[in-house]
Amino acid sequence: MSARLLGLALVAAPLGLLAPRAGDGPPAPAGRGFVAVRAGTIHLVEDGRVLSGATILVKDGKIQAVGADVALPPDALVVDYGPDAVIVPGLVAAYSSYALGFPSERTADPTLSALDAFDTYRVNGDALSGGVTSAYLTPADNRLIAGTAAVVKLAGQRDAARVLSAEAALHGAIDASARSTPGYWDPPIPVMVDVELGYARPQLPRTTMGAIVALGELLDLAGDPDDARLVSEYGPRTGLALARALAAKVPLRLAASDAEEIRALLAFAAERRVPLVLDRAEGAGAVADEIAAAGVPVVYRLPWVPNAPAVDRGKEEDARWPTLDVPARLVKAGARVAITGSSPRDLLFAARLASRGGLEPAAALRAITLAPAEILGVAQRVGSLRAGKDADLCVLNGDPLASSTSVLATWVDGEVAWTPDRHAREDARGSRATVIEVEELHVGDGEVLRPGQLLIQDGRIREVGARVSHPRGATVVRGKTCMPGMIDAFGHLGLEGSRKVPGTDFTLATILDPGDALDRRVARQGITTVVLTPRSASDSGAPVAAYKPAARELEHLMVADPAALRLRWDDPVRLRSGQNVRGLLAKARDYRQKWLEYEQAMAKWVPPAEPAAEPEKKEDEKAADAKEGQTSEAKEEKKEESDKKEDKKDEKKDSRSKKKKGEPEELEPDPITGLWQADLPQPEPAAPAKLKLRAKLARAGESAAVEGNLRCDALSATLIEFEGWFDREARTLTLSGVGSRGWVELTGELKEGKLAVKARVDGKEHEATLERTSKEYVVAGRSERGTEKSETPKEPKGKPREPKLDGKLEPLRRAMDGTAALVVEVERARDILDCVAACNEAGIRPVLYGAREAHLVLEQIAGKVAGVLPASTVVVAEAERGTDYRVPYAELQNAGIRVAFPSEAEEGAIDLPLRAAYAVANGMSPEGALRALTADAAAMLAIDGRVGRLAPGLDADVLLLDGPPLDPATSVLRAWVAGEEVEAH
Amino acid sequence: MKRLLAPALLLAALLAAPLPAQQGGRLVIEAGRIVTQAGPDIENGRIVIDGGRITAVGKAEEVEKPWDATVIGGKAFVAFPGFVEAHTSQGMDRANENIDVAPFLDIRDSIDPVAYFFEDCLRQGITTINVQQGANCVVGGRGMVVRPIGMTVEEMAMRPLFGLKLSTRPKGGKSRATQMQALRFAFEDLRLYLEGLVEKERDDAGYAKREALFQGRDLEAEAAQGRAMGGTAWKVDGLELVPRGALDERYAPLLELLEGRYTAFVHCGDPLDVVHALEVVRAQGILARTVLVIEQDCWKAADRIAEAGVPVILEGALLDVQRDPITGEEVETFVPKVLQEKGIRFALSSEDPNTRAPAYQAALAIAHGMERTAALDAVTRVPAEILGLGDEVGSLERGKLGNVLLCSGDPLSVTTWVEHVVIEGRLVYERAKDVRNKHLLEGVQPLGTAPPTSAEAGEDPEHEHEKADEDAGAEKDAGDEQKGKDEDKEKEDGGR
Amino acid sequence: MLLLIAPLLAALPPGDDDWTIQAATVHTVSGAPIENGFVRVQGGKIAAVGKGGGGATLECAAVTPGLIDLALGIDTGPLSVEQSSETAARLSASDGLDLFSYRWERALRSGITTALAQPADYDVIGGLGLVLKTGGAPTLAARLVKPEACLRGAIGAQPSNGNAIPRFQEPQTFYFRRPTTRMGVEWVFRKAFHDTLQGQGEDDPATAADHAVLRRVLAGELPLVVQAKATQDVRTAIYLKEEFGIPRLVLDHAIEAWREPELLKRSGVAVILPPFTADGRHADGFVNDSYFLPLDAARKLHEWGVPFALSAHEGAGAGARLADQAAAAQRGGLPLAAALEAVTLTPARLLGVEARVGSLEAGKDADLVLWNGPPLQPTSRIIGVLLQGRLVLDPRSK
Repeated sequence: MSARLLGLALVAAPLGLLAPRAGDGPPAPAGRGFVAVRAGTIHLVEDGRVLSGATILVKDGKIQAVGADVALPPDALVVDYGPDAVIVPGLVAAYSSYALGFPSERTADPTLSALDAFDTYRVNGDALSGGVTSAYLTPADNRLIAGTAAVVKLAGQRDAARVLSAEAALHGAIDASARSTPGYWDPPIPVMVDVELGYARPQLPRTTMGAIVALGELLDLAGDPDDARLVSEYGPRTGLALARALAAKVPLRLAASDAEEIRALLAFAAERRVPLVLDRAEGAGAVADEIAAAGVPVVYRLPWVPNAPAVDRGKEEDARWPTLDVPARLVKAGARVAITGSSPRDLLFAARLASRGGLEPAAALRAITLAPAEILGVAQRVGSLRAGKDADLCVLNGDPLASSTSVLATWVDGEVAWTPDRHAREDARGSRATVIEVEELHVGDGEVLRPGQLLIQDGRIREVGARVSHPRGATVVRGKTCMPGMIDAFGHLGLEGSRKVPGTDFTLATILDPGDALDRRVARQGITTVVLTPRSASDSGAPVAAYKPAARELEHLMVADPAALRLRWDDPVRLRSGQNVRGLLAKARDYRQKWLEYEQAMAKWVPPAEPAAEPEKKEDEKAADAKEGQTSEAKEEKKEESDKKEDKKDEKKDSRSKKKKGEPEELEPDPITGLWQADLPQPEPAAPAKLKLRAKLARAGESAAVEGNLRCDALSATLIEFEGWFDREARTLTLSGVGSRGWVELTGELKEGKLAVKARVDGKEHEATLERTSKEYVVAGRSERGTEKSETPKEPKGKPREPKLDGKLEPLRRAMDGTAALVVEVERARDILDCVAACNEAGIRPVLYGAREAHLVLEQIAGKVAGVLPASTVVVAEAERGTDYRVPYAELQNAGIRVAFPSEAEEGAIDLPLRAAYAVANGMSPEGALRALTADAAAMLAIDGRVGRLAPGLDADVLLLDGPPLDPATSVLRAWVAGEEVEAH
Repeated sequence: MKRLLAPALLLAALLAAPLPAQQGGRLVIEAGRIVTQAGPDIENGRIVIDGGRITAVGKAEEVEKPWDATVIGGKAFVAFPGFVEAHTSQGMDRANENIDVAPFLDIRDSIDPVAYFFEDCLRQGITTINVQQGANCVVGGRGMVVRPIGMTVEEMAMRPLFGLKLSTRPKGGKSRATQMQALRFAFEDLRLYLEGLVEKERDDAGYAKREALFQGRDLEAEAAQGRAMGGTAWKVDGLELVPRGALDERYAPLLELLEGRYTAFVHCGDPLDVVHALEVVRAQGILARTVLVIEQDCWKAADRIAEAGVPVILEGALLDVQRDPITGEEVETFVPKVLQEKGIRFALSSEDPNTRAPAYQAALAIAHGMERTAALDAVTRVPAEILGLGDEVGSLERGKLGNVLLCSGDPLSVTTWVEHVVIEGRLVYERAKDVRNKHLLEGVQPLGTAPPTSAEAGEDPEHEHEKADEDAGAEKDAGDEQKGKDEDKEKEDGGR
Repeated sequence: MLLLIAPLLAALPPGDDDWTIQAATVHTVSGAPIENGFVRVQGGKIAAVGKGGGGATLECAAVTPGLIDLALGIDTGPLSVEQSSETAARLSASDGLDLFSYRWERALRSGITTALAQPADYDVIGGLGLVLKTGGAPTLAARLVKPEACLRGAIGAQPSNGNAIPRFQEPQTFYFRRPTTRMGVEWVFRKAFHDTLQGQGEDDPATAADHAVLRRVLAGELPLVVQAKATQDVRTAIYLKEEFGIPRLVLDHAIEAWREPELLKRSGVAVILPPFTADGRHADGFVNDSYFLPLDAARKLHEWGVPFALSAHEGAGAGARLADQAAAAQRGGLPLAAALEAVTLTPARLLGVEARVGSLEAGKDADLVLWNGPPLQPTSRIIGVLLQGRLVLDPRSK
């Protein structure tokens, strides 16, 4: 929930419409209504208070209220950054170079206004990305009085509205930087038409004394702007401007580095009674007490510049190397300090750096928020979170002064001014990262990290360790325990109740599609991978696929298809046990041989240069077509022989393949069968819901019964099984079925290939126009894709002919290569041994399914099987052993044989953790049980390249728990699949 | 370069020499279509120009043709009002003065009558041009409105001493702050100086009289001279005492600007400059006489311009391509569209070499969704109004100056050429005789090489046929008087 | 595993990339323009082009094939010039291409859907150029149209410029590259081809590799694209062609080719014209002289039957783009049809990719440009671009 809102808000907010709390009525227009911003921790900075689980209520760019118990107006939009986010006031940079320009040629030029040089139309992305919302504008450097400084907001309204203070200070310096003033000529020689002839004269200052003298003279000039001598010294306009500024109580902000300079300034300020702010103040540590006593605030500029070559600090004994403990000492002495870095972007880092020497975090945070606001005289609007102040927020993904913390969002005047998401480009380079920090991280293969951290990026696990890198803008989640997503080693989730038995070359992938509400619920319980197999298998076996119930995109949906082939060894007639398995293995061996030969041939073969000229290609195509013809025919035959049981299907296929030989569109015999899709518009701001209708016409070419199903999360959380009728004359379709919200009636009309549908669910009418995106009906029927696939080949002459792909033997071949598994259903000890032997002979280590009597032959099969999927009985009670109960899972594992938990159900999958917990309660090792649910299951089914462990490179399927895994009392708090959080529904 | 110079002079000569037939005489222009830019187009129309001004526009059958008029044009042509260039810094020798504040400068001293620019203007059909100092200044000199013909500035001048150039875009070597400082100081200095003068007048009136008596000067005469310079008393309060003559020429122009004698052309490079510019002109009370010359992304400040209600001249590329500093995406903005949506009066300008021709700019505007008349107004009527020449040029109406283009087709089509340019009743440009244009179009063969064979460099066929038409047209118009001749000619035509 | 997922993706509902574009005029280029016709796009290819047609998903005034620029200039950049040798035929631009450059996007917006990327022309024989799409996933695999489309060469001042003559003083550069004169450049050129024919120095694998490429050029498999700006360069290039019997020669940046009608006709070369300038002049940075490109150069070539392509050299601003060059050419008297062909089909033919791009024909890539008026006129603008069926510039968005 929280995470979803977070996502929505961050994207929507910049456009001005924030995500409303679920069911909280329509979203209010931007800026107008109330906005409630939430985060786990909120630093008010004002009187150092820190609230947890509090809310900031914002309206019209101002903070209305802050606190844990803020009463929300009904129409308030809630933006919740989640329990792990931290909000601090928008940072205030007491130094910036946004307005920095050429210094005037005079030593003092108060008329040079920084505001003139600040471009309010510029987007200050750098500062905003550092959480900085207000900045001091330095007019120029290297002058005694370089000009008049200002303070502005870095986003929000334009022009005047952005100005916090037009005259924040008279900015200058008395240190070395101020002594490079050019000798000032009045006028420059040669004389020009616009300035009279004058004479050259060097300007003050060249020393600290000179600086103090000059300051004194300037104050005199301010007192008497017409003093001829001073006017000729400092220019005609300086006096008036100074007088005005001083009258307006504009402070002098002067940079002084060494203790001496600082002392001199303090003395001067005290004597002439002018408001003073110390700038830079590298050497202030030594004179901290005097500064505090004088009550002069300090803007400490860090004497270290990032992204710059290092500076020579001096070799002599007495060379002054800057120390970074100055702020700490000043604060201790009781002086007001603001910390600034060389660029606003790095203000947080600067604060961190400056908290050397024992400056505690609270003070450091204050030194980049409220303290500068006060020193710059804009505290009434910014610097802390208090009702009435501007809603400038800096949202962080961790403790403000933790070294790896970065900014999640920057708010100015109650609007989101910057978020890292805005970087997301179309080609999805640098997608948003997630970091999970827990006390206990279970890798899955038994290893445990305490504490542990995990970095998720682009759907994969990037780093695992005690401390991992935190990319800027990463979402950070903190918690107790995390473990890999659990694997249902053998279940039926996704079959949607179907009991059909497809052939082994049927790709189960075709019946799955992502985003099913039900599947998501399962995943939410912690089952992130399901090894799917039909409920029962024919003699030739059944396909087995591994998929992720919660995956949003198709490419994440399938883990492996086929993941394994499932065969039955046992036969009611014992003599026949294992026959067909042996048979298949034999076939498979030859088949594999063919392929090996082909691959060797290919390795040798050198492809000819690509045909540049057209005509040859033509021929090629013809050839290809011809070849293809043969192959497809061949396929047809192949199928017939293999599908004796499913004859009616064959008819249908024929009729369909006839239809394929293109008759004109309108007279299409079967205009219904296939997959129909549309977007069902939803009330704003929710995105339109996908509507997928799968239908099958009983008899092509005439009005006939229609069966099918419909999935649309907006209409029903579950799949709706349909039955109905298609009227060929009226071209109307009427279907009805039961969904999670009760009876669903669906009437459709066919208009030039499109299906205009009305659906009635508990009284409400929904309309949509469906388009047919595929002509296959594949819920559990045989897919037609086999034939389509064979349209690709177009090979140059001489290329070794590729052996025909046999869907049935493919899994076995891959099992032999070790890239897939072979699951054999076998119970009795004798059979187990035979089966294992047979398989090993074929170079396969099988996965035994059931294996009731495995405990009798543990030693014999140890190391010869990939693993065992024991039956659902965790605790076996046997009369002859009395209360000495057996726990097959434990036994097998102790014998060094991998086990995993098969659910053999659909939604039942969620019972698995409990089953494991129960096994643990009965003596199985908890660590072993965890392995069985994750790493071992993955390993035995050969999908450990994708899932099963928390290791770099693997899919980011992660569970966050509130306690130790496999403790019955522990529950899954949050779950991620392929890096995306699975939301509760 | 060299090889291009000769024809240039030749052409200039050709321009300078007024065609004998038209001295003071009347000119009739016939066209298959007349785009008047004032009401609907006229099919098959006729324009009569007398003494440099249009005396009649209308359908050929309705407008009576003076017997002694010279007739040009014909059915194949489209007549169009001469384009108006609202602001340019070309056609001068060195456009920028490096003195920050130099209102005392006068463009007339810098305009080069034989500059390639003016010649090119004719080719593009620009008949009225406002030349102002370059943008690299704080306060620039005074400009002038010229017509692109004549061998001397006097011949060219339409409005001497027109407009004064200011710039809020930082001059070379200045930062934004120092630029604004300098601009404010310019006006501050003026005020200080004037106050000083008034003081002086008050205190020294008696002394001056005695002084004058002693020197035998005649104060009345000086006063008269002052009045002569500026006519009436100062419009700026408190200056009645100061005779204009006594005013230092360095300050006079700026004062006249404050009086509203000149339009202020304020150059803005960035949206921020727009804000500054408006601030300054408001402070000086000359908002009403201000025109902003905007570049690049100044459109971002469109709201401010709109609320200030000042017209703008769009210099530089019409399509602003910018990179969003946060997302890094490139965003394209078609500036005229923005200005139009904000209800800002704007003229297009031909500074950007890629989009020199006004016709081309108008075309671009249409391509980006502006309607035709609005787009064309932006290169005719609007600039005319901005220059205060609303009732002189910018459309073909009775009483306006006879600045007419004869185009080979729709003036906005890429294949259309300006065939004839008439300025104030004088035929000043004929493409057929434009050597340089021929070179631009067909290339220059190095000296001594054989001239291109007809197949290669013959005039493009459509143009050929136009000329035929033109003659034919001319014959018909010549009409009743010389029937005999006509018949022979017609035979010839038939013969062709 | 991927093997198994691929067919899945193929089975994805293709809906979002299928279009039916209705246009007042469909300029097929390969055939006559069709008044109010349609183009149907399916699975990234053109499914059908015809008259009438209904159920349009996109509508516009005119639709043309995606434009093709043979001198886009997004090459490996002037800094990546092969210093080891002046003949680097074996190198390929593909190895130094920045597919993330925003300039691709820019080209795409201005209607250019296919482009030729070449090594910078500072080497006499610079290496292999490749044809690729200007959009799509930023991987070579995804964008490649033809990996080895041409061999890049340069005649004239450019290659020799900046090459230091050895001096008896401390060198500013490690390499003293030759040639240092125009003659030198031509010599290197001739030597390369001469050695190839003689099979000289092929014990050196690098040289052997170079010669292999040059042989393909001599065999006519690869066109030779030579930068030849001035008249003398044009002549030199053509003489070389005739001396060594190079079947497919394309003169790039041929500012003054128009001065040599007879040679052009005789030798059957093709020409890539540089952008037109306001005053017809093209300053040459290396020789203090400016070459002249008349407005009707394109028309001349057209009338002489010399195949030619127009190029924009990445003109970004309004008025400088490829479409604008085609407009300028019309101002020079080139008929619309020819102008359109010069930015679509002709360039495609020159590089032998006309089977995939260059015209609107069923089966070709669905690279389309949608206009809000008659194409290549200043009064109309590109409002939509489709790249292989994907809508990269949406005419419906304002």
